[in-house]
Amino acid sequence: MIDPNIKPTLLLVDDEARITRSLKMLFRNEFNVLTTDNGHEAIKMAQTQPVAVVISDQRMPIMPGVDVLRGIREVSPHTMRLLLTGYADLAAVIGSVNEGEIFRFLQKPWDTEQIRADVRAAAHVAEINFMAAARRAQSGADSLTAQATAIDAPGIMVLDRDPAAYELVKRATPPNNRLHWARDMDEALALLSTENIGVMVTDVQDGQASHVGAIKALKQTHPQLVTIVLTQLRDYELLVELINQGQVFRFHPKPGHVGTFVKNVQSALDYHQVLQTQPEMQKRHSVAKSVKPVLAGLSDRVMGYFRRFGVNN
Amino acid sequence: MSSPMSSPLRALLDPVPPLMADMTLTAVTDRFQSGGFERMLSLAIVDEDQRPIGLMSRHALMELLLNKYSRDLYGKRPIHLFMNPMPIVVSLAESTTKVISTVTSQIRTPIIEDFVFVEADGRYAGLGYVADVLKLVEQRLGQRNHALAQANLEIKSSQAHLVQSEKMAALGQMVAGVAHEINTPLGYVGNNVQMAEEMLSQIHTLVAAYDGLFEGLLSEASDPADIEQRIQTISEIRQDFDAVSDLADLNELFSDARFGLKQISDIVLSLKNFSRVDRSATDEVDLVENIETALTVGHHHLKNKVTIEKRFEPIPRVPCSPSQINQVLLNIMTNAAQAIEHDQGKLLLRTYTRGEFVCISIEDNGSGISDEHVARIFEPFYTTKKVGEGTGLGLSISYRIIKDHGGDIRLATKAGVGTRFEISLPMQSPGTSLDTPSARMPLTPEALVTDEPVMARSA
Ligand SMILES: Nc1ncnc2c1ncn2[C@@H]1O[C@H](COP(=O)(O)OP(=O)(O)OP(=O)(O)O)[C@@H](O)[C@H]1O
Ligand SMILES: [Mg+2]
Repeated sequence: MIDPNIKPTLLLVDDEARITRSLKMLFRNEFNVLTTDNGHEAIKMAQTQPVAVVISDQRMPIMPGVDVLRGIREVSPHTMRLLLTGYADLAAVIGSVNEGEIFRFLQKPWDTEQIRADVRAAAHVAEINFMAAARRAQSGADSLTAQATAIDAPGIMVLDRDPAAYELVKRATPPNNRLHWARDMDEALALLSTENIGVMVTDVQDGQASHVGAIKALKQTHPQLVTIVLTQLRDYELLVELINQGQVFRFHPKPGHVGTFVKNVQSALDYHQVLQTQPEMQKRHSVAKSVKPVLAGLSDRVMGYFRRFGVNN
Repeated sequence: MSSPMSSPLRALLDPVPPLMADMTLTAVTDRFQSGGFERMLSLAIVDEDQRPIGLMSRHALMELLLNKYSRDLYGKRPIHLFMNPMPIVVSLAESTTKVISTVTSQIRTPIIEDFVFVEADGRYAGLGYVADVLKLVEQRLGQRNHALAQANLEIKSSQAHLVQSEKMAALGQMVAGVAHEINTPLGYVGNNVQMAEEMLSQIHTLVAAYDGLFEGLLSEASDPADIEQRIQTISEIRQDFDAVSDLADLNELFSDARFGLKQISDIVLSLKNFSRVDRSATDEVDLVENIETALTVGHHHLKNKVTIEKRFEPIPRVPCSPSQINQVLLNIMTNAAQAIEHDQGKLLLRTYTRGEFVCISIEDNGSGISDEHVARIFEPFYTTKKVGEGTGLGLSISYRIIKDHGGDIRLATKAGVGTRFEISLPMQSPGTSLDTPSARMPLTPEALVTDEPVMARSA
């Protein structure tokens, strides 16, 4: 558990020491920074101490970044994961989302202000997650599940004209969760305002219409909505945009394989449940910037010192 | 098939009136002589139903009439007794191609007859001239020739396209890799510069505060409360910023930044070398430089996978096109890296001379190539890689390039152990040599002039 009075831990994984050195310097005032060039070591570190945020490079000799992040997710699910890479193939991008459930996909060279903002945001979320986990551990897991079943099961919404997509989602929807079908953005907005919807499955493109803007906007207005993108599209820049600004939870290729899709829908529903417990956590544990205590009585000491030399009459 | 009315065959048709079967030989002779039939070699004979039953040629008639008494003897006899009862008959309903083939296959030399056109229902339509058909054939051949020439051109240009697209693919891959190589130093250089800037502004604030204090202390008129305030400010700044240790860090930031910039300029330089327009094919080139350039450019393929060992014996400069040789080296090195699927990858690069040749050997401890594949690897489009990963053109183009230089590419390989490619280039400018990849046989490892076998994986 993270004590709010000590600095949160940031773990940097990169095979180029100059990268970790540079980032360490950038963050050492706000974070307790750990560095390594070895993925195995990184996972071990996250296992033995609370790590709030990890930033990993993708292309590394010992272990690729996606594997590092997946490993860390397994041993420390509340650690926020960021991939920082100079060049990643599409597979790495998709893998980082689906397997690493990354928070941000960052590209080298990065913007210093942006990376600060992203890492702070990640640390903020991590703190909330660690707190929630601690609270759950204290009060026992039962109360949470009891609470979860008390609220009615969230619905799933398909935003895609394609009937095959609807069929796929239908087959993956658990019996307790209601399934809604929105053919376009207007229908989707109408559904979101009247129904309790936890998970949205959408293509990024529907004919000529692009849903990218909508996906990003919906994440702003409905932060608890978990998005699965079901698409044929293979566009690197677009996917990165969707990760960073749309916080897309999973990318699933179209046409989809039912087995993996069922798993994706289930994890999306689970994640939605986690998100629902956040707002209260956020209020209770928002990170306050500690005010530096001003030295008391300092001036007397200094003035006295100078007076002795007769500098001031 | 087009309708008879619009058939291009109509253009060949001459609707000459036919002869009736019972016309006398004399009447037919008169008809031939009556004028208007000069173009025709023959006239058709039809029955009551207008169906052609034969053809009487001018040639046959003359033969008959050469006999002095023929006119008296046979003059009154009906023409059907003298006609050719089996003329070439084609229907207007048939395709031009079919008609051409019927006429040309049945034609007899010398050409003494025309051929008969009938309507779709079999009734006489007119005569056609063999000469016209032959003209048509000639025309068609001309067209076909043209089409063939066109196709040939297209194949040639698409071949050029393919070579170009292979180059582009290689370039695309290279750009992606180089992007990574450059983006990493750019990342920390940019970050360091930004942090240095921030530090400078902190230093500036701190120095300004110290200055203020200094002035205050020196001034007779200073209010102690003012001095106190200034000291407070300084101590606050100092909490955020430890000038002594942070300035020491600044040194490190700058030395890293300088290193990064050097690295970027190295990469850019090797890119320039790599894509350099060759001054002439007879440049005298130091191949070791080429190897280093290809290594830098291919760094991203290699660095995480293989350790590189260089054993360069001194070699003389050779006349060659360095950018083409770079392409060959990069392809073979990339292939080698791609063939390694374990984490003890090794790449042994060697240079040496053999007789009049300078050799570069590139040896990997990757998958090796099985016997059934090895004969095909120089074929264009032969690849064992996934769609999108390999075009299968790399080695075929490399082979062409080296052959054009009068050199050779040979290889030794053992499945599960590794592969060694050897490029040899003549020290003297070569004449052109002819060889085809399909005629090559891979060499056994012993056949290569190596003092050691192909590296074992455990080595
Ligand atoms: N060093 C090697 N070890 C094992 N196999 C090799 C090696 N070099 C080439 N090959 C085999 O030869 C095939 C043809 O190589 P080539 O360079 O012509 O095409 P490619 O590498 O598949 O595609 P491209 O060069 O366009 O990326 C490869 O697909 C691979 O199977
Ligand atoms: Mg190749």
